[in-house]
Amino acid sequence: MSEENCKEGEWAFDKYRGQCIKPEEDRYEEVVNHWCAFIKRQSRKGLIPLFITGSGASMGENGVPSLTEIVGKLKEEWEKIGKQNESTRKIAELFKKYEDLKKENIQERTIIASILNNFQENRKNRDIWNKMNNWLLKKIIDAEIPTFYKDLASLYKNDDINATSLTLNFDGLLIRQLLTEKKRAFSLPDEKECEAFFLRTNDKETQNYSHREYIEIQARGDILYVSCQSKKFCPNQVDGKQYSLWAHVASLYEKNGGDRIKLDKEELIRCPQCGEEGVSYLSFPGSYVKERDMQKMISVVWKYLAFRVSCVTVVGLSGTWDPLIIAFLGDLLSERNIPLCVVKPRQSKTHIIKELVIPALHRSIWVNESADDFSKKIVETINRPKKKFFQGQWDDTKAQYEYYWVDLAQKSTDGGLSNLKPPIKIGTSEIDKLIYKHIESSNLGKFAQIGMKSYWLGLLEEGIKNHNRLNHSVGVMYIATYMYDLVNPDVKNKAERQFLRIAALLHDLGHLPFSHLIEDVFNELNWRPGRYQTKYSHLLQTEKNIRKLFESEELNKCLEDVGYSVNDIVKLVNGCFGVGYLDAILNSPIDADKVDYIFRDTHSTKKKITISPKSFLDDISNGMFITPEKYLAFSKNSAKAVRDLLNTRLFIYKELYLKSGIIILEGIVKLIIKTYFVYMLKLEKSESPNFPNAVREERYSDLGDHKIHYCISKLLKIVAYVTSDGYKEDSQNNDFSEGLRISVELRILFEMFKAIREVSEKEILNKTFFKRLEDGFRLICDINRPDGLAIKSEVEPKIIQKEFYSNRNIIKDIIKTVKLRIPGAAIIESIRPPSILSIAEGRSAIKRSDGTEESSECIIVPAGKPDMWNVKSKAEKPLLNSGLRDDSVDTILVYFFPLSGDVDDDSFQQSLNLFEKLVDNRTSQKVKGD
Amino acid sequence: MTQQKIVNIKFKNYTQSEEQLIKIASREKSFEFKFIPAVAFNKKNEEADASSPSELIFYQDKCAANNKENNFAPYVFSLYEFGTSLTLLRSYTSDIINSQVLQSVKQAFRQLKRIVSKCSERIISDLCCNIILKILQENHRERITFFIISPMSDKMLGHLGTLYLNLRRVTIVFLATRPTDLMTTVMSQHTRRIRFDLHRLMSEDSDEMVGPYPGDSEKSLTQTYFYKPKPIPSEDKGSYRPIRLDIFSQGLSLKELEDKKEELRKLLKPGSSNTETDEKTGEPRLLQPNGFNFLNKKLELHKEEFSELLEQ
Repeated sequence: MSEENCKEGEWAFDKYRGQCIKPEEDRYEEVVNHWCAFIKRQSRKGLIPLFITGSGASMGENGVPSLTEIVGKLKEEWEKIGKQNESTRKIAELFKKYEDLKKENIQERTIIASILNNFQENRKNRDIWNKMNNWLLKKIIDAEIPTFYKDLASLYKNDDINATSLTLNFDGLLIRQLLTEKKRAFSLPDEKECEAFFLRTNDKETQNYSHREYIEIQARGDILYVSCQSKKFCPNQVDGKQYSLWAHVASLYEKNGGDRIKLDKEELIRCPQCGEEGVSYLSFPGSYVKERDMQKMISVVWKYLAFRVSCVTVVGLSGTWDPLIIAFLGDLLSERNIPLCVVKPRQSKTHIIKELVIPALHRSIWVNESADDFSKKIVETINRPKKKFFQGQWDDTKAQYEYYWVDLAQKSTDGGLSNLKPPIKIGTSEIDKLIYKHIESSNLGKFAQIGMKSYWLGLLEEGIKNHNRLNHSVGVMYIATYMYDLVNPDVKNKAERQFLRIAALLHDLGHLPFSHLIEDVFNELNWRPGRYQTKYSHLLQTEKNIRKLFESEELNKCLEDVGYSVNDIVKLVNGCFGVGYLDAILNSPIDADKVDYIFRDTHSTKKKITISPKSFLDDISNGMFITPEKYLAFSKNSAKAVRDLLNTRLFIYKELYLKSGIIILEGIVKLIIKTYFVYMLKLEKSESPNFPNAVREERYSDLGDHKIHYCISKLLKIVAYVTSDGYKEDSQNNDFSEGLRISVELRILFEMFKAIREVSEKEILNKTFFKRLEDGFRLICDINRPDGLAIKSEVEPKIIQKEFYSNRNIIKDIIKTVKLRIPGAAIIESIRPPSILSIAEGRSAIKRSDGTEESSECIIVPAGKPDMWNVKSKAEKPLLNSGLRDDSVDTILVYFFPLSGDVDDDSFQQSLNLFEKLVDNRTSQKVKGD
Repeated sequence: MTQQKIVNIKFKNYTQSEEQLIKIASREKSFEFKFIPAVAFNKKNEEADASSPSELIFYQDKCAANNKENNFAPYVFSLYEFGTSLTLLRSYTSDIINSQVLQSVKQAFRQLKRIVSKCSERIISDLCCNIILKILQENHRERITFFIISPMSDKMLGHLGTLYLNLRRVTIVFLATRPTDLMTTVMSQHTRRIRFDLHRLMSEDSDEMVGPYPGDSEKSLTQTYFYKPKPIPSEDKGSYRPIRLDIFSQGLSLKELEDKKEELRKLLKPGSSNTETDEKTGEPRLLQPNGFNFLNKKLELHKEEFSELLEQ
């Protein structure tokens, strides 16, 4: 199975959790493939693989001496001197114990520690200790860098992977490998240095990949230190100051032109302050000091790195002497649900395997393979060239043009919108064409983008025909591609771009006629979808439809070629894919969807707004970028454009979607649909929704789900009937023929009303209620007649109010019926939709496969003061890291930011006001400064 | 005058007892929660002879007689029939059951039961509304009275409310007789005067229906009446329990409501062929519309069948 075909949720390390994988087994290949695919996939979301290396990784034929060899060397030197005194007697005893245990193949940490400490701390034995250190340093310098570190360095350098390692070794081999390859690399043995590294600012200007720094975090294991031994005064001698051997090795490499062979021992241990020769020595801490230091280091790792880790690979670490590392890993694995792979050449089960792998509590496996071979395999698999997915040949004559943006792009003469011009149209690739073909045949093109509003607002037949969901979807795809191309000018990742386009095209696939009104109907009836979802939303239907669409083998094959799965598409449409900027482009307050509908709706309804689409698209191209954490950010002109768009959105909600007249009319439509659903579906002779066999078979957890499903299928049957060719002739002889000719929604409503009339003739329905419903229906249909109520956008609100006033009795009656006697919540007819802006809707909590939480909603956070925005503590982490501390006044950063929980209307308005103030302040400050 | 029809509806929820379920939940990983809501009804004409059971229809019977008709298929619905560990349950009820609750099996179970009972209320009201609609559709000229023996629930009222029924020919009454169900919400708020009224009602022998009693709000969907039937002196079998009647009154004027009240008083006359009493002894007797004893028996019989199903 190739890595591209790995599907999420079927990872091999989940399947074989807790097991030992041997290289001679068939499943070894599968595990490696899946492991690499996982690393790659997570890296696309900005997560990094963490490697934890122990002494086992550095050993080899010409490798770094092991502890046993060090002790052996000490013994050898000690025996040469052969003095006998009290301290040496102690040492002799220790050596004897050590030899005894060695015969039984046991390494006792406490004995080795006592031996080393005896030599290290006893002045009389200092000579032996120094000799050993000299020998050790020489050995380390001469050591050949194992293949594992070379491979690890290549994973470091790979910009798509960005591996990071935490090491317990003192040899600095990885750093040396990176330095040989002329990279800036540092070994960080101190928690302060480490913290400083993570808190360094990531300005856009300095974010240049040729200057990237690489670090190896040294969790306090055994460390090689250097101290100055000059007999004259040297500041480095004060308080026995020491510095890590590898701390200034980078400067030496630069001096020597990056050649490893020239690394000189004397130069390496020369004191950087006075230039005299120093002495290197191995700091071998007792367990107390070690754990104290390591804890500090790990807290830094936890704070700044852990939330970005995608998976952990442990190499050459037994864990017997490092309980803290095991505790850290245990926490990390269980909190983030990330996978662990322990690489272990021998069969014996080490402590780490016993603790973390065998219980199978985490997604962990162990591979019985040497570090070198494993890393070679990993690098090979990761560097394997991707399958080509971009195969389609586009025939330009058959291009499907969407009318709004394409017109706009063609009219723009100065080239400002050149990105919008073809070739970004439907069908630049095979999968685009296929998907378009599928959704064109669906109902999407039949439903008006703004439901019955198009009809009430006086749009003519042609206007309503063009202003549909299909055109909107294509428009969203254009804008999404436009935004993506702006932030990724060289389009490195073609697959990602294609993936975004597909998701954008499919984002409204679940929409039914009447736009969002049908959702309100189900929610007001208190019919809830299963699994205790709080309410029905078109997103659920979209998810269902997308899954259904990709059941087609042809399409599924195409999607696999792109390298993403159906789950990924569903997640991106729901705004919880995990890559900040992709989520922001498709699902945030300034996403492609909103950009499209704001301009499209105002254009088609001839509503005047202050910003023009061209200037908006121009402005947004100035200063939009992706932060290192992969969030979408706006600065400079684009921030102002975004503010204007938010304002416009608020404006058109008030003036168009929620205009007083329209709200009343929608209330009536809702009542008709609701009554239809309640009656007609319950009275169906053969397929009553309440006693279905389906309840048992499909295991609906809630009857609501079944009813919703049933209603939707009925609705689609009506849609099929009213859009069929024969329908027009059938409906010629009734009062509303003009409206029926124009609007599909009105035809559906008419069919529903006819059905309700039948019920009332059977004297089941309350007659007064039916009378009012009839009046209401007449009002809806007559609204567009010359003598009816015109809610055209150019008409003054006063005139509309006046016209409503003349019809007040009908409306009053309807509203009275609608609000008739309310004890339970189920029948309250809310005239006003529950949320003014869709930003307020919290989405269902989906846990990603990698265990991280979804980004349920995005808010805008300006630079500088995150606490003003009530950002929840969880979100602060990346905030502090992302260069937001920069208080300079000349850029305004707008961050789209994941936030859990709901944002209600008021707080949105408040934050918008606050944001405006901030923008104004900054602009005025800048003017003053100039 | 068109013919008057009477429909009796009774429903029940079958579950294991709580203690039993907690035991199972703590013992077994694959714990199953089963509840089975069942609704039974029968109908008859007003003047029909009470002793002729052929007039009564039980919906399970009808199903047995005609298997093809899905509408009355035996209805067994179980939310957790696939046997769920607590972890899975948690994924089902993500926000409702949090980690704190999960620490104790008992607590988690109680929380779960609360969710399930909401669900069963919804199913039951759905079933009842469906029966009502079916009967209305089959008889669309007759005047029909529905007796539902149960205190009214918000879910049921909500469902009935969305139907906008033609209540001029349809009467829907909820009958409650258990002392705990008798008090209206206003009464339970320690309003002395009304408590006194209830006390008077309990002790006095009056043939009148008293009411309407104030409910939650003036615009309530139901109007509450109390009725203490006067025993027939010649019988001498003891007194009757007081009955609370909640008449569904969406869109009805006060006069229409008074007419309905009179009709109901005639129907619920002690000793007439339209009424019967329960078979318990030692307590004040319960006056109920004819046919409910039969429904009771039927439901009890089915309980045995269901209990086998529950134990599986």
